Amino acid sequence: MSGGEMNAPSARAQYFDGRNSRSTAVDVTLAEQGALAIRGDGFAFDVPRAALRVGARVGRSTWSVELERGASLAFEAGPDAERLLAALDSSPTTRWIQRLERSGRWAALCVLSLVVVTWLFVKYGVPALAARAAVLVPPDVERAIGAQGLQWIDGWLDPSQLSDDRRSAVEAAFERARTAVPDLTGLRLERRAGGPLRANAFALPGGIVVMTDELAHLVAHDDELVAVFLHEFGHLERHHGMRRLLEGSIVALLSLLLTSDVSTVASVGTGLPAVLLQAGYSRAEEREADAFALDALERIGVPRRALGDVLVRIEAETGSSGIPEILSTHPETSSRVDATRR
Amino acid sequence: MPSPNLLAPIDHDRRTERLSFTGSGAEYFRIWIANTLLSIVTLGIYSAWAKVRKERYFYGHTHLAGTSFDYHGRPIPILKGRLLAAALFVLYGVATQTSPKLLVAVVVAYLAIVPWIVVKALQFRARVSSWRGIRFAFDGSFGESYFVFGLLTVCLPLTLGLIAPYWWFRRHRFSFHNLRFGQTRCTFSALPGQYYRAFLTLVVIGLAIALAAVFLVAVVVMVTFVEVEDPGEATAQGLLFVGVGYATGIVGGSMINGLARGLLGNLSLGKTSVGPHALSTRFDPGSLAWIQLVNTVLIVLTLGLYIPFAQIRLAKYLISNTALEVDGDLDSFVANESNSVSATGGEIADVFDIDVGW
Ligand SMILES: [Zn+2]
Repeated sequence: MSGGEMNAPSARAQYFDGRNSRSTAVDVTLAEQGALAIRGDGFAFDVPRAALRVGARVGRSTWSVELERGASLAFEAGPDAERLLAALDSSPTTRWIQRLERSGRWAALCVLSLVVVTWLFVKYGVPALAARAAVLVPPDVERAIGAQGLQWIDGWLDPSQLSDDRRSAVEAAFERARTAVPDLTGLRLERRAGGPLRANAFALPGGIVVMTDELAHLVAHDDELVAVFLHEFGHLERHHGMRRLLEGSIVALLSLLLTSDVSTVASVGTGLPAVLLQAGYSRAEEREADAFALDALERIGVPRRALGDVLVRIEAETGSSGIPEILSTHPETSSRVDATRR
Repeated sequence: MPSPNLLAPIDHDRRTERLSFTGSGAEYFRIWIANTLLSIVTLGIYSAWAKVRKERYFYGHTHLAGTSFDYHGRPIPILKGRLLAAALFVLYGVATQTSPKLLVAVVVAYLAIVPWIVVKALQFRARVSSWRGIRFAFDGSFGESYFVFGLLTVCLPLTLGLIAPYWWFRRHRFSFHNLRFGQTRCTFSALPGQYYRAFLTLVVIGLAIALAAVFLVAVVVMVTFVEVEDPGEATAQGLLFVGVGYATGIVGGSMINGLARGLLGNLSLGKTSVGPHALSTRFDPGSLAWIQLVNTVLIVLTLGLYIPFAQIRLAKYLISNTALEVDGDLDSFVANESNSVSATGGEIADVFDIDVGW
């Protein structure tokens, strides 16, 4: 024993010289100025503080201290080793992180904060990210997604059975709507029998607009069809569908990254578009699409009220407010109609 | 005073040293949750420190012959590597999104850079791992890496996946045969035929699981499908079917993952020797499939909070079913002249998720 302080922190350790794999049992004691006195069977030496590198002590695993020239000490976690190593490495950060990692109360608090942070991120961060990313998606990719969505929808809906008259009227309205938005490319009209969707119209990423026969019959004037198409063009122009798709993908990807099971990414990815197409637009997005449609109506000299009229008509017919994109959260029709009269 | 050398084992000529893992889920949960939160609130900066702490926890709880392993990676180089990797990733994203034609160029660049990254990653991982003060090292050549991760990877789709077992064999051979503990070389003795047998098993069982999943989904659809008028109900029904499909996909996927880990682990780690000492593994693919299944289900049900428990559970199984058949003694490994390798390779491999382990 080195004489003097009987109280100096001391612990058992394994000593490795860094040249070969022999393990030597040693007693390690804190000496003056943070030096370590290392005493073993047949050898004794001191290492100054400057030559020590205390590794992070994580949990109750083995804790190590690196010495010079590859030599090292390994301590079994325990009160002795804790006292000794804390004396060598007692920065506030180290102590703070260790308290965080060891206390059950902090863990509970961490879980709580994690839930809050995740919620905030999903609520605000993901939509913002998706909005940025949506404009970057190449048109080819958008079209492919839209085509896949249409294929899925065709599993549900029967082909259109419009009379030739109505069909050419609908197509003419689509062409008129298109002249109002020369910048939008890839626009394509698809007509289907509404079935469970009844009077309805919706846009798919890439420019496909699907309109049901029921809606074509419901309108009193073809201007109203133009208004519906322009509303859908509004969704396309703002990439609302793509955004919703990306939001879903980001959340799915994050949860997969968290669960770190990459092997399931492929299996989940294939069926994803179908689910995501079901998600509706937000009220704000409906208002954006309405505003876009009203501007465009004005440009081609169609009365603004065409949009309000068709909204009222659809509500009366289907009982749901607004142009009923599948399962959307619609703003109140009355407030949207008011906007068209302003 | 004379202190008997308690920790150094008395060496017989031949004996089996089993590895053991002493980490606990409850303890690691606190570490994991604290590090996850700190990583998030620092926008990922802390993740480099978190990685070091995680590795030190797992290494420090893995014991062989009375001594645990040690991890020497440092946060700052890891952080630099991660930032570089993130920059490359953004570049990759922008390049693929601005023009589909660029995609070809990106794929070519990817194939050109991945083999380099793999070597760097394996060098880094070996370099920062030690046992009894002796560091590991990795000697794999860039040429072999370009053959395995470049050429063979390109051939994979061209041969309709028929060379997949051989590809895995070469990957594992590359990772393990070029490993060195100090100055002691590791050797890898598995044969391509064994990989083809393992893959055949995997394909047969995988197909059985896939068939069972399809059958299950079909039954659910037939039992619950009703003609509905209301679009809301129709949507709910569609969601139910898709949900059932996902659930079976995740269950089947995790089981196949467990099987593959077991089968390939026995062929890679289990066929590796460190000098005269052979590693042996007793991974039971069935048990691993079960562990992966339970882990995945619990992770999903707890929205991720079970992750640390799952990692501990898997590590415990894998490590405690690994042993070293010692021939001679474990005290005479000799260290290598140390050299430093940047962390960049390892971190890029993390972000691009190149699986270089088994
Ligand atoms: Zn709308």
